[in-house]
Amino acid sequence: MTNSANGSYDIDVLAGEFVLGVMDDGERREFEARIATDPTVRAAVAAARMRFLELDLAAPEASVSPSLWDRIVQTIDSGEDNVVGLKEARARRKPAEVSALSRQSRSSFWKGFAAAGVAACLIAVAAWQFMAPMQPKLIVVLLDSKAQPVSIVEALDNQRIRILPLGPIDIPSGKTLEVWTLPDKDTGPVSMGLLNRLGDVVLKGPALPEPKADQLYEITIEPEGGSPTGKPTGPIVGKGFARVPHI
Amino acid sequence: MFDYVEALDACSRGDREALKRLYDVEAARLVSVAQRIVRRQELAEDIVHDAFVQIWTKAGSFDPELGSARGWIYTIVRNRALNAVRDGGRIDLMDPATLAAFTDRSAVIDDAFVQLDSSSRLRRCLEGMEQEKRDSVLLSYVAGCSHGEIAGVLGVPLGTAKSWVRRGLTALKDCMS
Repeated sequence: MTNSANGSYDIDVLAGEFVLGVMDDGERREFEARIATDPTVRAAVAAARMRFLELDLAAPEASVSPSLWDRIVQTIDSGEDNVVGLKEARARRKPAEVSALSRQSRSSFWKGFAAAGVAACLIAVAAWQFMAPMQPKLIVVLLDSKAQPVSIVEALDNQRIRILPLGPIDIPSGKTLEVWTLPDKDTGPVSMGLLNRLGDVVLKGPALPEPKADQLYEITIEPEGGSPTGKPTGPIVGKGFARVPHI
Repeated sequence: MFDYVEALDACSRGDREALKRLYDVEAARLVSVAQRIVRRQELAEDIVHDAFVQIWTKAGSFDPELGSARGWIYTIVRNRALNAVRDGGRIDLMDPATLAAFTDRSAVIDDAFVQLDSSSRLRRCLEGMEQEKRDSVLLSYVAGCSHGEIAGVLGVPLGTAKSWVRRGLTALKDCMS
Protein backbone atom coordinates (compact mmCIF):
# COMPACT_ATOMS: atom_id res chain seq x y z
CA MET A 1 0.00 0.00 0.00
CA THR A 2 2.88 2.26 0.72
CA ASN A 3 3.92 2.23 -2.90
CA SER A 4 0.57 2.05 -4.63
CA ALA A 5 1.09 5.40 -6.32
CA ASN A 6 3.76 4.09 -8.66
CA GLY A 7 2.21 0.67 -9.11
CA SER A 8 5.02 -1.32 -7.52
CA TYR A 9 2.68 -2.39 -4.72
CA ASP A 10 0.60 -4.25 -7.25
CA ILE A 11 3.58 -5.94 -8.79
CA ASP A 12 4.88 -7.12 -5.42
CA VAL A 13 1.51 -8.44 -4.34
CA LEU A 14 0.99 -10.17 -7.68
CA ALA A 15 4.51 -11.61 -7.54
CA GLY A 16 3.74 -12.86 -4.03
CA GLU A 17 0.46 -14.46 -5.14
CA PHE A 18 2.27 -16.01 -8.10
CA VAL A 19 4.97 -17.51 -5.86
CA LEU A 20 2.41 -18.74 -3.32
CA GLY A 21 0.52 -20.42 -6.15
CA VAL A 22 -2.89 -18.92 -5.34
CA MET A 23 -3.59 -17.34 -8.73
CA ASP A 24 -6.26 -18.86 -10.93
CA ASP A 25 -5.24 -20.07 -14.40
CA GLY A 26 -6.14 -16.84 -16.19
CA GLU A 27 -4.34 -14.60 -13.71
CA ARG A 28 -1.30 -16.86 -13.80
CA ARG A 29 -1.04 -16.88 -17.58
CA GLU A 30 -1.39 -13.13 -17.71
CA PHE A 31 1.30 -12.70 -15.06
CA GLU A 32 3.63 -15.18 -16.80
CA ALA A 33 3.42 -13.02 -19.90
CA ARG A 34 4.53 -10.04 -17.82
CA ILE A 35 7.38 -12.09 -16.35
CA ALA A 36 8.57 -12.89 -19.86
CA THR A 37 8.69 -9.27 -20.95
CA ASP A 38 9.27 -7.10 -17.88
CA PRO A 39 12.53 -7.20 -15.87
CA THR A 40 10.84 -5.33 -12.98
CA VAL A 41 8.31 -8.14 -12.67
CA ARG A 42 11.09 -10.74 -12.82
CA ALA A 43 12.90 -8.96 -10.00
CA ALA A 44 9.70 -8.88 -7.93
CA VAL A 45 9.21 -12.63 -8.45
CA ALA A 46 12.82 -13.33 -7.49
CA ALA A 47 12.47 -11.23 -4.32
CA ALA A 48 9.23 -12.98 -3.33
CA ARG A 49 10.75 -16.40 -3.91
CA MET A 50 13.81 -15.58 -1.86
CA ARG A 51 11.63 -14.17 0.95
CA PHE A 52 9.81 -17.48 1.40
CA LEU A 53 12.59 -19.93 0.56
CA GLU A 54 13.78 -20.03 4.16
CA LEU A 55 10.57 -21.83 5.14
CA ASP A 56 11.56 -24.68 2.81
CA LEU A 57 15.20 -24.72 3.82
CA ALA A 58 14.23 -24.95 7.51
CA ALA A 59 12.17 -28.09 6.88
CA PRO A 60 13.55 -31.23 8.55
CA GLU A 61 14.93 -33.94 6.27
CA ALA A 62 12.41 -36.71 5.61
CA SER A 63 13.43 -40.34 5.47
CA VAL A 64 13.51 -41.25 1.80
CA SER A 65 13.09 -44.67 0.19
CA PRO A 66 16.52 -45.95 -0.83
CA SER A 67 15.09 -46.79 -4.27
CA LEU A 68 14.15 -43.21 -5.14
CA TRP A 69 17.47 -42.34 -6.79
CA ASP A 70 17.40 -45.55 -8.86
CA ARG A 71 13.92 -44.67 -10.07
CA ILE A 72 15.10 -41.25 -11.15
CA VAL A 73 18.04 -42.77 -13.05
CA GLN A 74 15.76 -45.31 -14.73
CA THR A 75 13.41 -42.61 -15.96
CA ILE A 76 16.28 -40.51 -17.26
CA ASP A 77 17.83 -43.54 -18.99
CA SER A 78 14.55 -44.48 -20.64
CA GLY A 79 14.71 -41.12 -22.41
CA GLU A 80 10.94 -40.84 -22.21
CA ASP A 81 11.16 -37.69 -20.17
CA ASN A 82 14.14 -36.20 -21.95
CA VAL A 83 11.42 -34.62 -23.89
CA VAL A 84 10.48 -31.13 -24.69
CA GLY A 85 7.35 -31.67 -26.71
CA LEU A 86 6.14 -29.11 -29.17
CA LYS A 87 3.34 -27.93 -26.93
CA GLU A 88 5.67 -27.38 -24.02
CA ALA A 89 8.30 -25.77 -26.20
CA ARG A 90 5.70 -23.32 -27.48
CA ALA A 91 4.47 -22.60 -23.98
CA ARG A 92 7.98 -21.76 -22.88
CA ARG A 93 8.65 -19.42 -25.72
CA LYS A 94 9.31 -15.87 -24.84
CA PRO A 95 8.39 -13.12 -27.26
CA ALA A 96 12.08 -12.40 -27.73
CA GLU A 97 13.62 -10.56 -30.60
CA VAL A 98 15.71 -12.70 -32.89
CA SER A 99 19.10 -11.15 -33.13
CA ALA A 100 21.84 -12.15 -35.47
CA LEU A 101 24.70 -14.05 -33.93
CA SER A 102 27.82 -12.09 -33.27
CA ARG A 103 30.82 -12.85 -35.43
CA GLN A 104 32.65 -13.93 -32.30
CA SER A 105 30.23 -16.64 -31.18
CA ARG A 106 29.79 -17.77 -34.74
CA SER A 107 33.46 -18.37 -35.32
CA SER A 108 33.93 -20.34 -32.07
CA PHE A 109 30.86 -22.30 -33.06
CA TRP A 110 32.41 -23.47 -36.31
CA LYS A 111 35.77 -24.04 -34.61
CA GLY A 112 33.96 -26.53 -32.37
CA PHE A 113 32.95 -28.50 -35.39
CA ALA A 114 36.38 -28.54 -36.90
CA ALA A 115 37.85 -29.85 -33.67
CA ALA A 116 35.31 -32.62 -33.52
CA GLY A 117 36.44 -33.96 -36.84
CA VAL A 118 35.63 -37.09 -38.69
CA ALA A 119 37.34 -39.41 -36.20
CA ALA A 120 34.71 -38.67 -33.60
CA CYS A 121 32.11 -39.34 -36.20
CA LEU A 122 33.47 -42.81 -36.99
CA ILE A 123 33.70 -43.78 -33.32
CA ALA A 124 30.19 -42.56 -32.68
CA VAL A 125 28.81 -44.50 -35.62
CA ALA A 126 30.58 -47.66 -34.43
CA ALA A 127 29.11 -47.26 -30.97
CA TRP A 128 25.70 -46.45 -32.33
CA GLN A 129 24.54 -50.00 -32.98
CA PHE A 130 25.24 -51.04 -29.39
CA MET A 131 23.56 -48.04 -27.86
CA ALA A 132 20.33 -47.94 -29.80
CA PRO A 133 17.65 -49.73 -27.79
CA MET A 134 15.14 -49.43 -30.58
CA GLN A 135 15.41 -50.13 -34.28
CA PRO A 136 15.32 -46.77 -36.03
CA LYS A 137 13.02 -46.45 -39.01
CA LEU A 138 15.35 -43.92 -40.63
CA ILE A 139 18.80 -42.54 -39.95
CA VAL A 140 19.96 -39.06 -40.86
CA VAL A 141 23.49 -37.71 -40.73
CA LEU A 142 23.29 -33.95 -40.35
CA LEU A 143 26.06 -32.04 -42.12
CA ASP A 144 27.20 -28.49 -41.56
CA SER A 145 27.82 -25.94 -44.32
CA LYS A 146 31.29 -27.44 -44.90
CA ALA A 147 29.76 -30.91 -45.31
CA GLN A 148 31.19 -32.06 -41.98
CA PRO A 149 28.99 -34.42 -39.95
CA VAL A 150 27.47 -32.68 -36.94
CA SER A 151 24.94 -35.07 -35.51
CA ILE A 152 23.04 -38.27 -36.16
CA VAL A 153 19.28 -38.25 -35.94
CA GLU A 154 17.29 -41.47 -35.76
CA ALA A 155 13.59 -41.38 -36.51
CA LEU A 156 12.18 -43.95 -34.04
CA ASP A 157 8.56 -43.59 -35.07
CA ASN A 158 6.18 -40.87 -36.25
CA GLN A 159 6.79 -38.80 -33.09
CA ARG A 160 10.11 -39.61 -31.51
CA ILE A 161 13.61 -38.91 -32.70
CA ARG A 162 16.91 -39.71 -31.08
CA ILE A 163 19.82 -37.33 -31.42
CA LEU A 164 23.50 -38.03 -30.97
CA PRO A 165 25.85 -35.11 -31.52
CA LEU A 166 29.14 -35.97 -33.16
CA GLY A 167 31.15 -33.23 -31.53
CA PRO A 168 30.90 -30.20 -29.29
CA ILE A 169 28.46 -27.53 -30.39
CA ASP A 170 29.05 -24.07 -29.03
CA ILE A 171 25.61 -22.74 -28.15
CA PRO A 172 25.77 -18.94 -27.77
CA SER A 173 24.42 -17.73 -24.44
CA GLY A 174 20.73 -16.97 -24.51
CA LYS A 175 20.28 -19.35 -27.44
CA THR A 176 19.09 -22.90 -27.77
CA LEU A 177 19.20 -25.63 -30.40
CA GLU A 178 15.93 -26.60 -32.05
CA VAL A 179 15.38 -29.71 -34.16
CA TRP A 180 13.13 -29.58 -37.21
CA THR A 181 11.80 -31.89 -39.85
CA LEU A 182 9.98 -31.30 -43.12
CA PRO A 183 7.30 -33.98 -43.45
CA ASP A 184 6.19 -32.42 -46.74
CA LYS A 185 6.36 -29.06 -48.49
CA ASP A 186 2.74 -28.16 -47.78
CA THR A 187 3.11 -28.65 -44.01
CA GLY A 188 6.44 -26.84 -43.90
CA PRO A 189 9.07 -27.32 -41.20
CA VAL A 190 7.79 -28.76 -37.92
CA SER A 191 9.63 -28.41 -34.59
CA MET A 192 10.52 -31.70 -32.94
CA GLY A 193 11.61 -29.88 -29.78
CA LEU A 194 14.50 -28.10 -28.13
CA LEU A 195 17.90 -29.57 -27.34
CA ASN A 196 18.60 -28.23 -23.88
CA ARG A 197 21.73 -30.28 -23.54
CA LEU A 198 24.01 -32.24 -25.79
CA GLY A 199 24.07 -35.97 -25.39
CA ASP A 200 22.04 -39.01 -26.26
CA VAL A 201 18.62 -37.37 -26.22
CA VAL A 202 15.21 -38.57 -27.32
CA LEU A 203 12.76 -35.84 -28.28
CA LYS A 204 9.06 -36.35 -28.66
CA GLY A 205 7.52 -34.04 -31.18
CA PRO A 206 3.98 -33.82 -32.49
CA ALA A 207 2.40 -36.88 -34.12
CA LEU A 208 3.32 -36.71 -37.81
CA PRO A 209 2.92 -39.05 -40.78
CA GLU A 210 5.41 -41.95 -40.73
CA PRO A 211 8.86 -40.57 -41.62
CA LYS A 212 9.96 -41.30 -45.19
CA ALA A 213 13.27 -41.71 -46.99
CA ASP A 214 14.71 -38.34 -48.09
CA GLN A 215 12.75 -36.45 -45.41
CA LEU A 216 14.71 -33.37 -44.34
CA TYR A 217 15.92 -32.96 -40.74
CA GLU A 218 17.85 -29.97 -39.45
CA ILE A 219 19.05 -28.28 -36.29
CA THR A 220 19.02 -24.48 -35.99
CA ILE A 221 20.10 -21.98 -33.36
CA GLU A 222 17.08 -20.22 -31.91
CA PRO A 223 16.39 -17.79 -29.07
CA GLU A 224 16.05 -19.45 -25.68
CA GLY A 225 12.65 -21.07 -25.43
CA GLY A 226 12.59 -21.86 -29.13
CA SER A 227 11.81 -20.09 -32.37
CA PRO A 228 9.40 -17.21 -31.74
CA THR A 229 7.63 -17.85 -35.04
CA GLY A 230 7.20 -21.63 -34.85
CA LYS A 231 9.43 -21.94 -37.95
CA PRO A 232 13.23 -21.99 -38.15
CA THR A 233 14.65 -18.47 -37.86
CA GLY A 234 18.29 -18.91 -36.86
CA PRO A 235 21.47 -20.21 -38.51
CA ILE A 236 21.50 -23.89 -39.49
CA VAL A 237 23.84 -26.04 -37.40
CA GLY A 238 23.39 -29.05 -39.63
CA LYS A 239 20.94 -30.66 -41.98
CA GLY A 240 20.50 -33.95 -43.79
CA PHE A 241 18.11 -36.24 -45.59
CA ALA A 242 16.80 -39.44 -44.04
CA ARG A 243 18.00 -42.83 -45.23
CA VAL A 244 16.53 -46.27 -44.59
CA PRO A 245 19.09 -48.36 -42.66
CA HIS A 246 20.11 -51.65 -44.21
CA ILE A 247 20.40 -53.80 -41.12
CA MET B 1 29.28 -24.42 0.57
CA PHE B 2 27.50 -26.33 -2.18
CA ASP B 3 27.62 -24.55 -5.54
CA TYR B 4 24.09 -24.94 -6.93
CA VAL B 5 24.71 -22.89 -10.06
CA GLU B 6 27.71 -25.02 -10.94
CA ALA B 7 25.70 -28.20 -10.31
CA LEU B 8 22.87 -27.06 -12.61
CA ASP B 9 25.38 -26.02 -15.22
CA ALA B 10 26.99 -29.47 -15.07
CA CYS B 11 23.54 -31.13 -15.33
CA SER B 12 22.81 -29.13 -18.47
CA ARG B 13 26.03 -30.55 -19.93
CA GLY B 14 24.83 -34.08 -19.15
CA ASP B 15 26.91 -34.67 -16.00
CA ARG B 16 24.99 -37.34 -14.10
CA GLU B 17 27.27 -37.03 -11.06
CA ALA B 18 26.20 -33.42 -10.62
CA LEU B 19 22.55 -34.48 -10.43
CA LYS B 20 23.47 -37.08 -7.83
CA ARG B 21 25.28 -34.46 -5.76
CA LEU B 22 22.17 -32.27 -5.83
CA TYR B 23 20.09 -35.27 -4.89
CA ASP B 24 22.34 -36.15 -1.96
CA VAL B 25 22.23 -32.60 -0.62
CA GLU B 26 18.55 -31.79 -1.15
CA ALA B 27 16.30 -34.82 -1.79
CA ALA B 28 15.39 -35.56 1.84
CA ARG B 29 14.40 -31.94 2.50
CA LEU B 30 12.54 -31.70 -0.81
CA VAL B 31 10.47 -34.77 0.10
CA SER B 32 9.62 -33.05 3.36
CA VAL B 33 8.57 -29.85 1.56
CA ALA B 34 6.41 -31.81 -0.91
CA GLN B 35 4.88 -33.83 1.91
CA ARG B 36 3.67 -30.69 3.69
CA ILE B 37 1.55 -30.04 0.62
CA VAL B 38 0.49 -33.50 -0.58
CA ARG B 39 0.53 -35.18 2.86
CA ARG B 40 1.34 -38.70 1.65
CA GLN B 41 4.99 -39.76 1.73
CA GLU B 42 4.87 -41.93 -1.41
CA LEU B 43 3.23 -39.17 -3.40
CA ALA B 44 5.85 -36.73 -2.07
CA GLU B 45 8.57 -39.07 -3.33
CA ASP B 46 6.86 -39.31 -6.74
CA ILE B 47 6.91 -35.53 -6.91
CA VAL B 48 10.60 -35.37 -6.05
CA HIS B 49 11.24 -38.07 -8.66
CA ASP B 50 9.49 -36.00 -11.34
CA ALA B 51 11.24 -32.87 -10.12
CA PHE B 52 14.70 -34.41 -10.50
CA VAL B 53 13.87 -35.61 -14.00
CA GLN B 54 12.77 -32.04 -14.76
CA ILE B 55 15.92 -30.60 -13.17
CA TRP B 56 17.97 -32.93 -15.38
CA THR B 57 16.23 -32.04 -18.61
CA LYS B 58 15.64 -28.34 -17.91
CA ALA B 59 18.79 -27.37 -15.99
CA GLY B 60 19.84 -25.26 -18.97
CA SER B 61 16.69 -23.17 -18.66
CA PHE B 62 17.43 -22.01 -15.08
CA ASP B 63 17.07 -18.23 -15.08
CA PRO B 64 19.05 -16.47 -12.32
CA GLU B 65 16.88 -13.38 -12.82
CA LEU B 66 14.01 -15.27 -11.19
CA GLY B 67 15.84 -16.29 -8.03
CA SER B 68 18.70 -18.45 -6.79
CA ALA B 69 19.58 -21.84 -8.23
CA ARG B 70 18.64 -23.50 -4.97
CA GLY B 71 15.35 -21.59 -4.96
CA TRP B 72 14.65 -22.82 -8.51
CA ILE B 73 14.89 -26.42 -7.33
CA TYR B 74 12.44 -25.82 -4.49
CA THR B 75 10.11 -23.93 -6.83
CA ILE B 76 9.98 -26.95 -9.14
CA VAL B 77 9.07 -29.25 -6.26
CA ARG B 78 6.49 -26.85 -4.79
CA ASN B 79 4.83 -26.26 -8.16
CA ARG B 80 4.65 -29.98 -8.88
CA ALA B 81 3.18 -30.62 -5.44
CA LEU B 82 0.63 -27.82 -5.95
CA ASN B 83 -0.35 -29.24 -9.33
CA ALA B 84 -0.82 -32.66 -7.74
CA VAL B 85 -3.25 -31.36 -5.11
CA ARG B 86 -5.02 -28.90 -7.44
CA ASP B 87 -5.55 -31.64 -10.03
CA GLY B 88 -7.76 -33.28 -7.42
CA GLY B 89 -10.53 -30.96 -8.57
CA ARG B 90 -12.47 -28.25 -6.82
CA ILE B 91 -12.89 -28.58 -3.10
CA ASP B 92 -16.31 -28.95 -1.57
CA LEU B 93 -16.42 -27.04 1.68
CA MET B 94 -19.70 -28.69 2.63
CA ASP B 95 -18.11 -32.14 2.53
CA PRO B 96 -17.27 -33.33 6.11
CA ALA B 97 -14.38 -35.53 4.89
CA THR B 98 -12.78 -32.53 3.18
CA LEU B 99 -13.20 -30.41 6.28
CA ALA B 100 -11.64 -33.16 8.42
CA ALA B 101 -8.64 -33.20 6.11
CA PHE B 102 -8.15 -29.50 6.84
CA THR B 103 -7.56 -30.06 10.51
CA ASP B 104 -3.94 -31.09 10.04
CA ARG B 105 -3.13 -27.94 8.05
CA SER B 106 -2.76 -25.76 11.11
CA ALA B 107 -0.31 -28.25 12.62
CA VAL B 108 1.75 -28.18 9.41
CA ILE B 109 2.13 -24.40 9.47
CA ASP B 110 2.84 -24.27 13.21
CA ASP B 111 5.67 -26.79 12.73
CA ALA B 112 7.11 -24.85 9.81
CA PHE B 113 7.04 -21.64 11.82
CA VAL B 114 8.89 -23.05 14.85
CA GLN B 115 11.45 -24.70 12.57
CA LEU B 116 12.63 -21.27 11.44
CA ASP B 117 15.82 -20.20 13.13
CA SER B 118 15.12 -18.01 16.16
CA SER B 119 17.39 -15.29 14.77
CA SER B 120 15.66 -15.37 11.38
CA ARG B 121 14.38 -12.09 9.99
CA LEU B 122 11.51 -13.92 8.32
CA ARG B 123 10.54 -15.39 11.67
CA ARG B 124 10.59 -12.00 13.39
CA CYS B 125 8.51 -10.47 10.61
CA LEU B 126 5.97 -13.30 10.76
CA GLU B 127 5.81 -12.95 14.55
CA GLY B 128 5.06 -9.27 14.18
CA MET B 129 2.11 -9.86 11.85
CA GLU B 130 -1.51 -10.25 12.87
CA GLN B 131 -2.28 -13.93 13.21
CA GLU B 132 -4.87 -14.14 10.44
CA LYS B 133 -2.46 -12.67 7.92
CA ARG B 134 0.41 -14.87 9.09
CA ASP B 135 -1.75 -18.01 9.00
CA SER B 136 -3.11 -17.17 5.54
CA VAL B 137 0.34 -16.69 4.06
CA LEU B 138 1.78 -19.79 5.74
CA LEU B 139 -1.22 -21.97 4.82
CA SER B 140 -0.66 -20.95 1.26
CA TYR B 141 3.13 -21.24 1.03
CA VAL B 142 3.84 -24.12 3.40
CA ALA B 143 0.68 -26.23 3.16
CA GLY B 144 -0.12 -25.36 -0.46
CA CYS B 145 -3.66 -24.21 0.30
CA SER B 146 -5.71 -22.37 -2.31
CA HIS B 147 -7.73 -19.29 -1.36
CA GLY B 148 -10.76 -21.56 -0.99
CA GLU B 149 -8.92 -23.94 1.30
CA ILE B 150 -7.59 -21.09 3.43
CA ALA B 151 -11.17 -19.88 3.77
CA GLY B 152 -12.17 -23.40 4.79
CA VAL B 153 -9.42 -23.83 7.37
CA LEU B 154 -9.88 -20.39 8.92
CA GLY B 155 -13.67 -20.44 8.64
CA VAL B 156 -14.05 -17.16 6.76
CA PRO B 157 -15.57 -16.17 3.39
CA LEU B 158 -13.41 -16.54 0.28
CA GLY B 159 -13.03 -12.78 -0.21
CA THR B 160 -11.71 -12.41 3.34
CA ALA B 161 -9.14 -15.15 2.79
CA LYS B 162 -7.94 -13.48 -0.42
CA SER B 163 -7.63 -10.15 1.31
CA TRP B 164 -5.72 -11.64 4.27
CA VAL B 165 -3.23 -13.26 1.88
CA ARG B 166 -2.70 -9.95 0.07
CA ARG B 167 -2.30 -7.96 3.25
CA GLY B 168 0.01 -10.62 4.65
CA LEU B 169 2.20 -10.43 1.54
CA THR B 170 2.40 -6.66 1.78
CA ALA B 171 3.20 -6.69 5.51
CA LEU B 172 5.91 -9.29 5.00
CA LYS B 173 7.49 -7.41 2.14
CA ASP B 174 7.48 -4.13 4.03
CA CYS B 175 9.00 -5.78 7.11
CA MET B 176 11.74 -7.57 5.20
CA SER B 177 12.83 -4.80 2.87
